[in-house]
Amino acid sequence: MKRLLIAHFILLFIASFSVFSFVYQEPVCANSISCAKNLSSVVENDSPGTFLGMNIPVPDIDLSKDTSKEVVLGEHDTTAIKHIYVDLETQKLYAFENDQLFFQTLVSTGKWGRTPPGIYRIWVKIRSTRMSGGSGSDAYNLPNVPYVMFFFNDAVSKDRGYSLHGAYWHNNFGYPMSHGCVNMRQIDAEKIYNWVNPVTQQTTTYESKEDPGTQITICSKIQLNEGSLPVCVE
Amino acid sequence: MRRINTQVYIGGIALVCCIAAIALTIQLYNLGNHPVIATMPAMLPSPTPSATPLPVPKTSISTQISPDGSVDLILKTKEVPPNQTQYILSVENKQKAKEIEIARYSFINTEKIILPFNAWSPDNKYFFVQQTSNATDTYLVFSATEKESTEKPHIDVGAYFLEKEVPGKLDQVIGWAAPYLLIVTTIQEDQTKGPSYWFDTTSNSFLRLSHAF
Repeated sequence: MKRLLIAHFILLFIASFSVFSFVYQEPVCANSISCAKNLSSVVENDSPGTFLGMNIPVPDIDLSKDTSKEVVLGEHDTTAIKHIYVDLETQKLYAFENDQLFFQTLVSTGKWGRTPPGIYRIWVKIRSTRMSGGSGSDAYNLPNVPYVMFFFNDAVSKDRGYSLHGAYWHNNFGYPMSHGCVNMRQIDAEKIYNWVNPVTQQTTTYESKEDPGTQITICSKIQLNEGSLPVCVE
Repeated sequence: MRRINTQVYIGGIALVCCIAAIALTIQLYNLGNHPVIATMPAMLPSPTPSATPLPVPKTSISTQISPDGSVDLILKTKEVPPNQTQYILSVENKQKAKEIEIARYSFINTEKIILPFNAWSPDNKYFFVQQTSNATDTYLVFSATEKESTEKPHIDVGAYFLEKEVPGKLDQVIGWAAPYLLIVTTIQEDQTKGPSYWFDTTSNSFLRLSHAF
């Protein structure tokens, strides 16, 4: 009888564990391997990169020549309310200061993993990091990903690792190419990185109460309105 | 006495004649400088001859910077009357401020070259341009480091598309998936969206993708 009880208990435990494992799924990260685990800025010159199963030349980063320093006062209106909009349909990014368009460019959002629509806030900026993920033919492992701006909201937590960042491995902007992040040309990413809040202080800069991160709105479709901010129409 | 009166008389007449002659001369001189009096019909000013200016051929410059901002692709166009346009493609290294001419062509005005946003390969070694015409569009790939030559001509993606008998019709070359892979979209015979391909610039071959762009 005792043995029967123990056996039943073990079976019940195994069954419960199986059901729990099936129901609880690890939240999907934009970069399924690197996620947002390492928030230190990492420069890895002379390291190989792989994307779509191919070796990719990795550009060197020379931090001494960097322009990603603290924004010179007066270069931008530091009292302006900054807001970024990403239109998933047209693959365009718009950067607004108050209701004035500051900058716009083409981007690449998620193809292998959809970039989730929503209203987000940048919580940390990292000058350079390694991103890795995917599997099989779409596996990637990329050092020196430049100008990374991680964003989050209540539905998409910080550890999901969604970000705006530069991309040196492809040049197909205007079309989805990522695993969920918003890719930009390196020159565009540098411009946005130096413009958004929190103001760059070091190679890793967190937002604070005094310097909250810039808001990002990602929509399936955006309508631009002259003289006022865009609105999501889908 | 009588002789003196005669001399005076003759002298007086001579004096009067001189004065009259001087007066007449002055009168004639002034007449020549006076404007035409109103009773005469007005004369139209004769037109000033002028040369017809030669038309200045229109020129324009467009550029496409590389994604890392280090090199610029420059397209200069110049009208060549009566109905041609010259296109000059060159590359400028921003740091070294050095410009290299890559290629130059002349087309009739129904054809033109356009620089796409994604022209540059990710490693800045190649670029592609779009050549449009009334008949069809094609895409040309050039080395960014040296002028094209007989030994190293450009790659005509449209020509290879036909040569390799890829199904459907070439729609667009939209950008680079990797340093040597162009992404090509197609249209099917029924005008619907067809599959997408990689065009491998090292082997001039097409690889069908599982997903369409």
